[in-house]
Order: sequence, then C-alpha cells, then structure tokens
Amino acid sequence: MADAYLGSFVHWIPLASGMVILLPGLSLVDSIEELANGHLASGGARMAGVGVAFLALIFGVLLA
Amino acid sequence: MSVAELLVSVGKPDEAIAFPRWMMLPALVLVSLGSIFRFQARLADGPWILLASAVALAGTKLGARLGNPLMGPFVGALLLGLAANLFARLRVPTPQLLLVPGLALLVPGSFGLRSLNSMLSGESTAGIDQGFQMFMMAIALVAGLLFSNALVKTEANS
Repeated sequence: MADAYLGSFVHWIPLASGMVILLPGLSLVDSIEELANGHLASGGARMAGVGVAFLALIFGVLLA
Repeated sequence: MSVAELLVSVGKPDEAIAFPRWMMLPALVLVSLGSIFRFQARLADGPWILLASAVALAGTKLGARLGNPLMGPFVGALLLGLAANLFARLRVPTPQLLLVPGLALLVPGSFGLRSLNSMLSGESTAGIDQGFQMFMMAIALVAGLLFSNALVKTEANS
C-alpha cells in the first residue's frame, strides 16, 4: 500500500510538507524537557499523547 | 492497492529537484509569516518571529558543519535559547515568544512519520533506526535548551 510513494521520494515531499503542521514534534520536545526537569507525570503523559498522535497520523497516511 | 491508486494511476516520478540555496531567504520570510498564523501571534510580533526563525535555521546550518549530525539541532536550540533568554531580559515579555516559533522549525516530527512509515511497510530495521534518530534529535534539542537556560538566567527559569 505505502510503497506507491515509498519507492519514490517525490511523493514524500508534498506529504511531509503538508503533514508538518499536524506532527506533534513540539510536544515531543516538550515532553522530553519535562521528563528531564523531573516532571515525570506530565512528561510521560505528553509522550504517550505524542505516540498516539503519530499512530493516528500514520494510519491516515497509509489509507491514502 | 491504496485508495489513491484506485482514483489515479500512480507512476514513478522523476528525481526531485532541489531549490537553489538563495531560496532559503524567501522561505525564511514565508515560514515566519506562517508561524504568525499558526501560533496566532500578533502581527506586531512578526519581526521577533522572523528573528527566531533565522537564529534557529542559522544555528542548525552552523551545527551541521561540525560533523556530528546531532550537532545541528543542539547548536540550533542552544543559540535559539540564548537569543530567547537574552531578549527576554532586554525587552520581549517572555522567552516563549522566540522559543516556540524557532523550535517549531527544529523539531524532528518528520522523522517520526518516516519511521512509522518504514515500519508499517515492512522495513522494521530502517524504521527503528529513524525512530531512534528522532529521539536523539529531540534529546539534542532539549540539551541545547537546558544549556542555554543554564547560561542565561531570566525570571522564568531562575
């Protein structure tokens, strides 16, 4: 399914550029910063949220 | 067979053509304009967002020259955090005004997407590799921020 664009790099570029808005990258950095500062509960919860957001996004990508 | 293949025939495209280097400057202006909308900033804060984007991008390019691929995010976050904390001491009300739009350029979100994409299409080792790379980049960013907080004290982080 995904190799329609995985084999070629060009399909990846518009996909990634549109997806950049939705990706939880800032939350990932936030969660690691919270964990590093010792706020374990909020950091762990935020990291779990990041993981779920990634899984949800990749499901949509695979579907298309 | 994907939904897209049912609708249109997906052919093998040609090679991607990279933009010339000077496109960085208009792209920087565009990305800071986009950041104003994305983070719903005031239009008056546009110059600060442009400055943050420029510092983050320049730091990444500078760090990437140091050899280690993790030095790019580290130096970018370090310079960005230093700039944000210094300007928070001088005039900008809070360091977040520079930190958030600058950090949004540095975060390794696309690596996570690529990692899961690889894993789900059967290339587990490449996926694990890219996922680990994403975490290492995030940790490099956080290390840069922590160093910058240690170097310049503000009311927020003291």
